[in-house]
Amino acid sequence: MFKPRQLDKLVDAGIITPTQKLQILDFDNEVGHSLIYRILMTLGIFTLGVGVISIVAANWQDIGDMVKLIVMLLLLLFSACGVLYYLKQNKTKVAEKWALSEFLFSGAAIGLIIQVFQLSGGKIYAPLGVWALMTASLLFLPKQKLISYFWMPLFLTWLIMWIGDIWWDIFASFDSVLFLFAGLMALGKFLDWRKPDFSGGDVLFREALFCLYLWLFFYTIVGGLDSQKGLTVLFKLFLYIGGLSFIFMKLKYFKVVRSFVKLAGLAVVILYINLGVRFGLFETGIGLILSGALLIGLLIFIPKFIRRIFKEKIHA
Amino acid sequence: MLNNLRNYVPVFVPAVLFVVLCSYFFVQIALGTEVKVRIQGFDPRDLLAGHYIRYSIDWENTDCAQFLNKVCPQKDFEQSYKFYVPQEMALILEREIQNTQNQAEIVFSYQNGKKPFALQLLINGKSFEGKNARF
Repeated sequence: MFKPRQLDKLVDAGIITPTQKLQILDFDNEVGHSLIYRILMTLGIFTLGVGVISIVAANWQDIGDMVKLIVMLLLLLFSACGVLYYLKQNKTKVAEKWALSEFLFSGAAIGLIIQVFQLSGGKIYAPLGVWALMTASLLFLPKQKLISYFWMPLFLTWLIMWIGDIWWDIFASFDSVLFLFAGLMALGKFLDWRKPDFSGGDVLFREALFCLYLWLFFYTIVGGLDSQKGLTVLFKLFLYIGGLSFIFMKLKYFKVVRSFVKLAGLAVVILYINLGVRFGLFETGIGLILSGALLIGLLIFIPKFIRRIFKEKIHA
Repeated sequence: MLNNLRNYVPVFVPAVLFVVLCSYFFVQIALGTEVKVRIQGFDPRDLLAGHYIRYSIDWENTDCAQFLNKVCPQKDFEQSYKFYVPQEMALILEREIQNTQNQAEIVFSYQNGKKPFALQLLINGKSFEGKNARF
């Protein structure tokens, strides 16, 4: 999104011509309309789906079980036909929206099955697994990306809950969770490399990376402030962050490296607090001078490091 | 033709699996025999409560003669269950179940060694039948 005023400044500075300014604004308008259209379309389908489900849910005591199940089946078939119709018309973007409605109806269908057959007492994550299994086929629709963005978080949520349940200790082990996410990232990258048309691989890579980042963030704050193991945790974190940054720099994922640098910055702040509390740096005059010097040093070092990454990005 | 098949198969899988799941549950329920199990109200303080009531099974007051070898199959049943009801009935039913004067039961479809399916909620032998139910 470009603002006309910003572009005027660039025109005044002689960086772009007035014609280029108009071209940029035209381009921006086209992209803007398309985005708004897509958001409204998605919202429309979602609202429609929720509305139908609400009508069924609100009046469920007045409707027989069989009728409810048949209505749900018809909704699933209707959305499936919508996907096919628009795929045949080569309108893949509209077909994606219909596939999304099918995905949401599938979730509602599982909720309905739970209510009609009075299924309870099982694992809380089981419905998520069934939902992911039921809709996994939609990932293979041609040229779709939208479903991947909904399906992968669902799958990861189920996977994390399932692993956490069968092997609770994994969550006590920082490394195991880290390797789980790293493994999923590698799987996503592999899928993306082997099947570039399949958007699921790329999305899995991104979502697993996001989980890994969150996990590191959580561990930095909770583990780093631990009075007993805090320093060991932070030392390990610096090793991991350094190692991961190195790998991603080699892979030329500079945006990811930037996120890791920010995380390293957070770890440094936590280290600073940890050391400050441990050695009483905040309690004496000398301690305050030392901690102030340390903070200034870090503030100089981190931007330099970021600049270095950007230089490598420019030369890449 | 192959392209068509590639589109047809993924879009109809959710509907097919829905039918398969429903059929599986219908068959499982039909294969089971009906048993009546006494229940107790459960702590209703649940953030997600509203469309269901929570209960646990009261084995002490359940007639075990209806089961194989006249032994209550406690390990086939969970500690607690939810019974889905219309939201406006949840509080009323919860009170009825917790009232010690009432005899609350659930009718299950049960097959030996398998997980049971709750079919009906009975209070003093009367079935819960929608929002106009009276006990």
